[in-house]
Amino acid sequence: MHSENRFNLIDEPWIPITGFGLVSLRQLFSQNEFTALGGNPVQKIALTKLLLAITQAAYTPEDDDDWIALQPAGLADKCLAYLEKWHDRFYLYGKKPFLQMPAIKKAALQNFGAVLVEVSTGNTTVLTQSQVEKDLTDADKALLIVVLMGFGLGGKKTDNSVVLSPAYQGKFNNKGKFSAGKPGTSIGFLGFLHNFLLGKSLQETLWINLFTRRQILAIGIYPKGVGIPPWEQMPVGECDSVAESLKSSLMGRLIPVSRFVLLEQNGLHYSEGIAHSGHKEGIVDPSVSVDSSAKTPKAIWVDPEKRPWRLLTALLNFFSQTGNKGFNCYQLSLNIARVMPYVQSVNIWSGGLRVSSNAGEQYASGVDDFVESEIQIRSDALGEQWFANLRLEMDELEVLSKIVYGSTLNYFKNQNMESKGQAAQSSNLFWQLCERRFQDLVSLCDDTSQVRTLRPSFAEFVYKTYDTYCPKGTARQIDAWAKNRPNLSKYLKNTNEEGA
Amino acid sequence: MNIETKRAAQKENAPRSKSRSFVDFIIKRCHSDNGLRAKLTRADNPATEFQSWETLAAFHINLEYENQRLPYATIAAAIARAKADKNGETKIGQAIARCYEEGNESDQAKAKLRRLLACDSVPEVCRILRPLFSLIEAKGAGDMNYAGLLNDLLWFGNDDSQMRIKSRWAQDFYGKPVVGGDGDE
Repeated sequence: MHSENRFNLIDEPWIPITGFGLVSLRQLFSQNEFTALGGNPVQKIALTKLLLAITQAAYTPEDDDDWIALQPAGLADKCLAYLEKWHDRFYLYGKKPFLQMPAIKKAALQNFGAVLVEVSTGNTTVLTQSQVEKDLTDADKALLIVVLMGFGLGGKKTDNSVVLSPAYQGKFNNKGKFSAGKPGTSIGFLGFLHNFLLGKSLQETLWINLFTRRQILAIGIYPKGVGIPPWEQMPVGECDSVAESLKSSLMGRLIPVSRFVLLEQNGLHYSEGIAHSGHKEGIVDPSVSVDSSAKTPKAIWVDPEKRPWRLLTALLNFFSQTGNKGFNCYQLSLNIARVMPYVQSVNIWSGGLRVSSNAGEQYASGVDDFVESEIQIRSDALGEQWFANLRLEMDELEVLSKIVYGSTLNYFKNQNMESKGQAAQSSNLFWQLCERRFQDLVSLCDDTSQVRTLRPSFAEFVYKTYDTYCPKGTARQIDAWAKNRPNLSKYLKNTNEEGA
Repeated sequence: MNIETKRAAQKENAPRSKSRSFVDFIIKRCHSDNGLRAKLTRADNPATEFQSWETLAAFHINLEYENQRLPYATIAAAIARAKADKNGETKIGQAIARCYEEGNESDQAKAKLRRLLACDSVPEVCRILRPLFSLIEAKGAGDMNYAGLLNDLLWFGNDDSQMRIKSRWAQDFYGKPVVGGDGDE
């Protein structure tokens, strides 16, 4: 099983593509009609990082001029050449299995369901058919390996009794027994929100998100620069020289090798891998947004209740005049300005997985969920004025959501009923209704006179939400309804003056 | 939204001009003919309402149909009793609030509003309005918009309109602007 090379990721189809099916790495780089990756958000992020690792390894431009000269087609050619050169490192099974550690065979065998978020194993109740463990194909297993590199959930599923580096203490707790596995670098404590720019085609997306050598130097937290990708040189243990150089390079954030794995027929050997520094220590994925101005750096976590479009002003904070304070996401801040002259519209993709944590064990429960959203902004509109308008309108929407919450709460209070549940739900419904018009708002924000014309629509949503949750059937209800109906005259005041 | 306002306006325009002309007509006749005014003051009492039928019939109102006869009779009686000079601007909700010192905070005002909102048929609402008119007149709460109220009463029989009318009365009571999204669409 392990001696013969099988299932090469360059030749076999395994990457899910929307509207097409599975493709191989060679197909991905030689055909440019693929628009976007498929799969759930975590798989999309992991795949994007893997593809970026391949492209950065194939060719990292020196500076922006070099990058412009490259163009997506040039990049694809360089990647194909690179893949040909390292063809024998991309076998899923073999002497040098892709991203796996043959030495970890000593660790216990874990079945595949244990490392898949949505599958119920052990005591977890099975509620729907989708939670039952299914057989995985080789393509599924390849995708799983890529995901586990960065997104392995923390907990006891990792067998930490096997330590590959001698004298490495990281897998033991202070009592000397082996500890639960730390969360994967890309997922963090609660689930980081990852952000990427999207292009018209998959190759263009990779080109847009590519960092130049000068940019990596400017970011400053990767002293070893791009670094060497793991398939060229796998670490031997958790803290050998290869692992240390991964920890301080960009490659280490793209393919963190947070888990040492080895595939078997019906399971995988699974143990904790390299322990990277986290955002609290100042090291961060370029796709994660962190506020380093506070005493302890804060990251933006995934919040299924607060969809990513609501975080747009935080993500794009670099447009405001007080640019250096607040949240910063390198993937966006460095690359948007660079790409603006060349594309008609900038698309920002945000997504991730929210998890709950209990005694070191991470799992998805309650309202935890995948989140993803895509926002399109016209390139000629982007700028300080646009950002200022957007921020103003978003702040006003926050005020409206508070008004909705308060009105619903008071409606029920007037009738001597408790109602935090309904008030929260009404606020939620308001945001859901606003989401439908958000793209229009974004498109209009560069024109100060036009931006107010959307306010009546949002006001309409407030009334609609209020009426949905506050019925007016009986006389008492009509009384309470009329008394607490939100008054939006101040919000709408300027529309009447300017909208005409 | 535009289509809705146009439709609403069309709905209101046809009867409104009839309501408005009825109100103006009654006001004019009450000023000129005291005997007629006296007969009209008795229009809302079931025992004596036949005295006003002549005037109502002259306006081509279908006397057999209760939901038409009662609103016209009630409004005519109110105008006659109050000796109104013109069709004012005060709506019924506002008027109730103005009757009491604390306005829409007053418990008594709220009780009166609630009784009004609890009506679900045209005869009931006309019956409840009678003492309200006396109260409004006594407290001097302002010139009522009789035409608007007549319109409301004529549409009160229709279930959908009834909800909308009651919401509007309640909003007037609380002094909330009745703009954007009357809500029950």
